[in-house]
Amino acid sequence: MADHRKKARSVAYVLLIIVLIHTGIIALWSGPSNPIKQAIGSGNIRQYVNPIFEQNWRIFAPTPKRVTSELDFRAQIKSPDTGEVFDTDWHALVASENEMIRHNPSPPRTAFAARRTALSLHNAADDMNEEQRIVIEQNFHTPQSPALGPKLQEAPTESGATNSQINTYLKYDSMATYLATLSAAVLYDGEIIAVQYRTGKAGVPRFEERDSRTLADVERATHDFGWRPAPSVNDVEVSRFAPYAKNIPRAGEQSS
Amino acid sequence: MNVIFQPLRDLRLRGEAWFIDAPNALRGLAMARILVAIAALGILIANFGQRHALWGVSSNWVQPHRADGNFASLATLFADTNPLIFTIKYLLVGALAIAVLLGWRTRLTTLLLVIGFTALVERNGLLGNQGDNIARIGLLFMVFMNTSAHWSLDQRRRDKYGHQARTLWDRWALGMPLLPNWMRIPLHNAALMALALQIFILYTASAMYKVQGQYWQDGTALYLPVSLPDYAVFPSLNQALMANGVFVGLATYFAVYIQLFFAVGLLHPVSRRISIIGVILMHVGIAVLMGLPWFSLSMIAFDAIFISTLTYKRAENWVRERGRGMANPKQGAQARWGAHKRGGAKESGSAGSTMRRPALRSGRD
Repeated sequence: MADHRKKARSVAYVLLIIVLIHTGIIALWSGPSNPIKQAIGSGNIRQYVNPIFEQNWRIFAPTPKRVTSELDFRAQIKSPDTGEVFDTDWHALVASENEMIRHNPSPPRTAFAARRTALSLHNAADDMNEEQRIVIEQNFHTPQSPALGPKLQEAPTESGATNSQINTYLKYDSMATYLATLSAAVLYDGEIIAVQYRTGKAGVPRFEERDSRTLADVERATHDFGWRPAPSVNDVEVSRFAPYAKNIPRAGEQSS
Repeated sequence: MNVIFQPLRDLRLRGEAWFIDAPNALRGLAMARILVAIAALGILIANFGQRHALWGVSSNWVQPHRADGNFASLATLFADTNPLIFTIKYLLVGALAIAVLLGWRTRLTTLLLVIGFTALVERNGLLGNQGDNIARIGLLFMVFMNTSAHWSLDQRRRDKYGHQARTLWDRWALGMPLLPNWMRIPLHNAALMALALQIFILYTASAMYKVQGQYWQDGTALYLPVSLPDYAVFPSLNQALMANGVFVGLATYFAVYIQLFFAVGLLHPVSRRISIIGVILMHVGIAVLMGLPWFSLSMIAFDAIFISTLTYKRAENWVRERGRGMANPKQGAQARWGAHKRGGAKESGSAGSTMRRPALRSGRD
């Protein structure tokens, strides 16, 4: 029995040391930047923490989330009957996401799909300089069009979005384009040739103004973007996307 | 000098006893197991209707984000192009959550649940939240702990048939401990300690970021997100509450200080109750005002390890007496089941309780 206690004690001390080292690393990772973190190096800490212990407790801090974002899209469609190419009306993705949340105590996560995508796009456009913004507002959907990515990367980055910000924009551009294409395919018959999206953003009025103004009274900041070629989507993914897209209203129909 | 070293020696002995005598917080961990399983199940149910757009065949829109994710390769477990196969796998994760909830083959199902759950939610990291991270980390630690000593099918099996175990195979089949106590008990307690410290870090870090912020300092932070349609499950309730400045101020400071003092608060029995009840109230508020019930439940699940075993025993007795009282009014308060014939080592304390023990006790099976 005494032998067992001795063994248990040795195991306990080894485990205790492991737990304390682990906890120290997690504490450094989770906490604000400090000299200890800098001495060890964020990269080294990240290597230990990611992926299994990845976490981030800056939820709503230091600045709580105070903006809402919007994502509208329209599509260019070749009618299956007449073969004519037409543009659809603008549709408001976030308006239908808001409806998924309202009076639903357990909303689906998809209620954040368009709004999170929109926020990244909108912020990226905010960071861009004039030359870069001209590029994102261009159309890239005709067979003769160059590709958006290389064109945007060619633009001078001075006092604009950095290369990594541009890469982030391109990622979210393809996500918004794909979301719009799937949504259009759910709402309309015919071959989708191209889609176009636009973003909006508005902040909650200041606390002192809350009796006189609500978010609905705040003017939206908007960004326009050009037409993008639609990615090819298959029937299975379109049909299974319907629960998300089937209630997307036309822009302007909703009262937010 | 003895005045200094004797108390330190006592403290060390108590610490060692906490670590090697018996697995701690068995009821708290059983509660955590049940609640985190319900949270996982809740996430699966809430998203079932839109599962394909979120994680399944129609989720390719998020591919650029997914490719950069931490668990990109694990997430390929659900990369099926056939919606039916995806749905079957989805239901399997749900079955695992139910198994963990009931405490059936708990260690194995907990391990499989953490793999399945992570693979699924990491299919779409853009639409995840920190509840996913804490559930993953907590479930992983739980694999090293005994979370089925109470309120579980495993324990029922052990109580009924545990004494029949002869071979190692029998022990496995009956869900009896396989490792010797001198390994098993320190491992359980070390994992428990790691989980408790993880929760301390979570609240302390959250509070440290909050106290830096202007809106948290001036007591209006809560007003901003709660006024967004993003979280407006009950817009008129949110609006009514935010119109009241005193409520906004109190609730904002409450959120900061309950988190900031959480770890310290656990040290004293009175402040421990305030800390635990406070943090649970905060999460209930988040669940209702911000439409994040499963995130909140994942958090509450791991707060439950800090509730003392004594409190759980009282609650257990209360429920038992009520149950007996209803089933058979004559027997009433005498009713007892299970507790007196537990096969495993005795337990003590909660994860955060001070280490107050009568004497060293040898861990035995």
